[in-house]
Amino acid sequence: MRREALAVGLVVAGVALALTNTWRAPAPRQYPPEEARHVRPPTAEEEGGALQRATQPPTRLAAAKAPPYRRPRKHPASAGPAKPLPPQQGVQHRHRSSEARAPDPRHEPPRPQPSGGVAGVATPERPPEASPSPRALGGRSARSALPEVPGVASPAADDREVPARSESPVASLQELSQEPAGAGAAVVEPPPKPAPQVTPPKPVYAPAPEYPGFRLAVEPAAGAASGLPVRPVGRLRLRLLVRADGTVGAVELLVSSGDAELDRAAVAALSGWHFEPARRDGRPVDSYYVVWVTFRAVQP
Amino acid sequence: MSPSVRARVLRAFLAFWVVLTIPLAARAQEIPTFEGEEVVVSGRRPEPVRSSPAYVTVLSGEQLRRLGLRTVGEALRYLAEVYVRESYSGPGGLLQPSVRGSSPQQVLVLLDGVPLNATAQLGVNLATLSLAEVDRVEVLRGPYSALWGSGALGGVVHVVTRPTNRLRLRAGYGGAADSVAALSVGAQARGTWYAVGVEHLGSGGYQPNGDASRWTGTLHLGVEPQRGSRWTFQVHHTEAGYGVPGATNSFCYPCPDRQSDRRTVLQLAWDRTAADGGGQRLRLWWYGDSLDYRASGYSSSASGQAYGAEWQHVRRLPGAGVLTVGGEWQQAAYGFRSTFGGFDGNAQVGTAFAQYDVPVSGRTLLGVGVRLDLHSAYGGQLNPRVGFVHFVTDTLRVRGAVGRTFRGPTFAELYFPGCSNPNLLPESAWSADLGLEYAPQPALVARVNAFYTDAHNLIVGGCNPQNVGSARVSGASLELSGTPADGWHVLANLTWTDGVDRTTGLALLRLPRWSANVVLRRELGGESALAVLARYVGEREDLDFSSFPATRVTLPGYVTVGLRYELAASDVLISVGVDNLLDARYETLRGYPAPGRTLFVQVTNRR
Repeated sequence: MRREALAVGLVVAGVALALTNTWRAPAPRQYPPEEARHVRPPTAEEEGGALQRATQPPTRLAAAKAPPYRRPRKHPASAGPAKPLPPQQGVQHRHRSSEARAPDPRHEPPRPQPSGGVAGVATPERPPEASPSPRALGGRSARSALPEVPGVASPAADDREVPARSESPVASLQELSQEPAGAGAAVVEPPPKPAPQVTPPKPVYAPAPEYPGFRLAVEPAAGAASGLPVRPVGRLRLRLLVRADGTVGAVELLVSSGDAELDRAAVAALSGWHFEPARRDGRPVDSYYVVWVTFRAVQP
Repeated sequence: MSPSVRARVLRAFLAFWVVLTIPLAARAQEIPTFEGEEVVVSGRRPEPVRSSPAYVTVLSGEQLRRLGLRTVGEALRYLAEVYVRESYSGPGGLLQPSVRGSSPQQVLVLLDGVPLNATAQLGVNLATLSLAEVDRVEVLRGPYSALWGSGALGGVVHVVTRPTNRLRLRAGYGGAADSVAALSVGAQARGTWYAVGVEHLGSGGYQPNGDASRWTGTLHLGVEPQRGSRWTFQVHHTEAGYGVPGATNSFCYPCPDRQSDRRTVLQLAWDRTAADGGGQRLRLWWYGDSLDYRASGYSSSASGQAYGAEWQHVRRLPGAGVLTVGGEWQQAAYGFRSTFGGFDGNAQVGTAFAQYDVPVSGRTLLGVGVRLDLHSAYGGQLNPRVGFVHFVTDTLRVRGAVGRTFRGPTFAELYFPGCSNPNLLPESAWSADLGLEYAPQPALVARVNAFYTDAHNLIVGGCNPQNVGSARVSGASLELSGTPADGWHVLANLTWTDGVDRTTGLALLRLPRWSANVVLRRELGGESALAVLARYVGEREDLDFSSFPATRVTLPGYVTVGLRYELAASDVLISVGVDNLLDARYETLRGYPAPGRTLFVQVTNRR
């Protein structure tokens, strides 16, 4: 009887824990390329409101903490394929919560990321880090049954992702275990491991998404209201699983533009991209490629 | 349960637990993540070309005045699917609109939202609506009873006035002693405004006893106590005296008959506009009108008054739709006295309406409306309307609508002693249209449109009138309007209409099968401009009353050409024009010859 009770207890605990991980901290949906054209991006309700919050403009407080996002000078859609992180740009091994708190991340020495931690990747906008070699970070939550969203330590990512993701219990657990609240708290970290030589994936075939057509806005008027064609605009964030053979294995919508058509168009286009795969010590490996896609309407 | 089974179950549960809780991260930890450069996708912003599920034309009052036009009736002559029936001309004339083959009674005429048809027995005379202080004239073709109620069977003519904020002067003189003199002044300060205008139109007449004199006065007062919320008070008064020479083929031509009309419209309105385009409006209105006729051995006097209240609420709904709901109540009274007797009538109408416009897809706008009129004389009328506009591209649209419309019987048809029928029902019709609009640039639209109207319960005259008439009208039109190039303005259209009276199998009277118009204006720099106005009206059936019984005749088509030259000189704009340049001889209706070539000059201050 005791063994049965133990078994039942374990099962209940396991199911509860699993449900907690999978339900309260959902991972973004994965879109296999062949299905990408038919996928529906997750709604705000499905994402627990996180997407909705994530797509909101940064608050004044957040803007004060993080420098404003600057667009790359190049026009990737016209200049060719999007470029991955340049090798000389160091990768920030830092927990996002500490990133948000750090007054000036440039003065913070790089710290190796413990196993199971949430990764951060620096963007070209961020000043070069001390780390000379490109060290990519990967990792999944230890308690998540699905791949964890890698955090990106770009200011834009801070604005958009940190508030949404830091609410997940996984991040809370990690914060507790790795960086207790308050500056100067004692942090127990494993000794740094030698970083492998990893080169980023490079898009070799990267057609730009097709801009979806306009849509109607209704203009109230006495008599018959009129329709005004307007183009949807928005910005979304995708994570591509780049296989070792250079194809895109899956596309995840990390941040929705708020417009299903724009999301679909971007997912459809980027799932057809081809890459020169990332290499670890010269050997092709799978990698994640995270990218912002912006749709903007301009005067003809 | 045996121990071995229990052990198996336990192992299964343990395995399940392990599957659920042990992370699958071992391999994922090895997958590196890289940030790619942002992908920016640029698209051409659509030009702000909007379209509604209705064929609407908006005429600018300022442009109409600059063309030397004096009344709303003269302005509507140049529109597609609109035919203005004219007898006499000038400010003492009778100009009545027919839209898509309808009778003038089946066209609703609104002056700043107030329905003038409430007491009009034969339809509204558009010669009584001068263009003084008119901001714009909106012409809606097709079934609009779902929005406006009775009378909108052929379409709606909505005349909108606007207070000026400066001193404006206009004077003109032309052939047959046609004259115009107008003065208006207004100002705006700290959320309040006022404007007063007075205008005189005169004519010596193109026929004996064709002289006319019309005065029109307007008053606008307004206050905006807070942004988006306004109170306005308006007065529009017109009165005229003129001769009625009669038809050239009548026994007394030129007849010594005289006529005078008078109309006053008062309106108090409050409206609040929200930032998203929604808002509310409350309007209280009153008007009184009269028409006195005096001939040898006969005189008549008709007077009517109506008042009403209207409330309308426009609201944006989640999902980008716009909902308009409202209600109206009006009371109308009409009295007629003549040498041979008279009658009185009155009626009340209560109305509720709702209109919902919603984009059903990214490219299709659907508008659904319904209106219920409860009339004290003929009961309830429920009129739905459905319209759509589909943007094939941002420059090409398909537009269509279908709806039911009606026209209530007039007081004369209901109560005229010895020649009326108090049991008459409203005339009703189902009407549909389908059009294609192409806008290659924001200010230029090319349209092709087809329409069909099936009318029943038409009130057929005689004593006593009966709901036995039936008619169908089908037609199509082509139109090009807008600015094809800098400095050029064009309005060109061609209309084909085929109307058949089902009870007789004959073509509808006074309805040209073909008509076409071209108005071309070229700006010459500064404010100088040159314009040409050409009009063709094809053959149409009419009745010749010179014989008894009246015989059916076919009137020949005609072409008129007018020219305008506007010269900007220091503070004034001088317009010189000629109408009927080719001096064509034609009758608009049987027995009513139109003026020959006439010249005019007009001076307007620019600042």
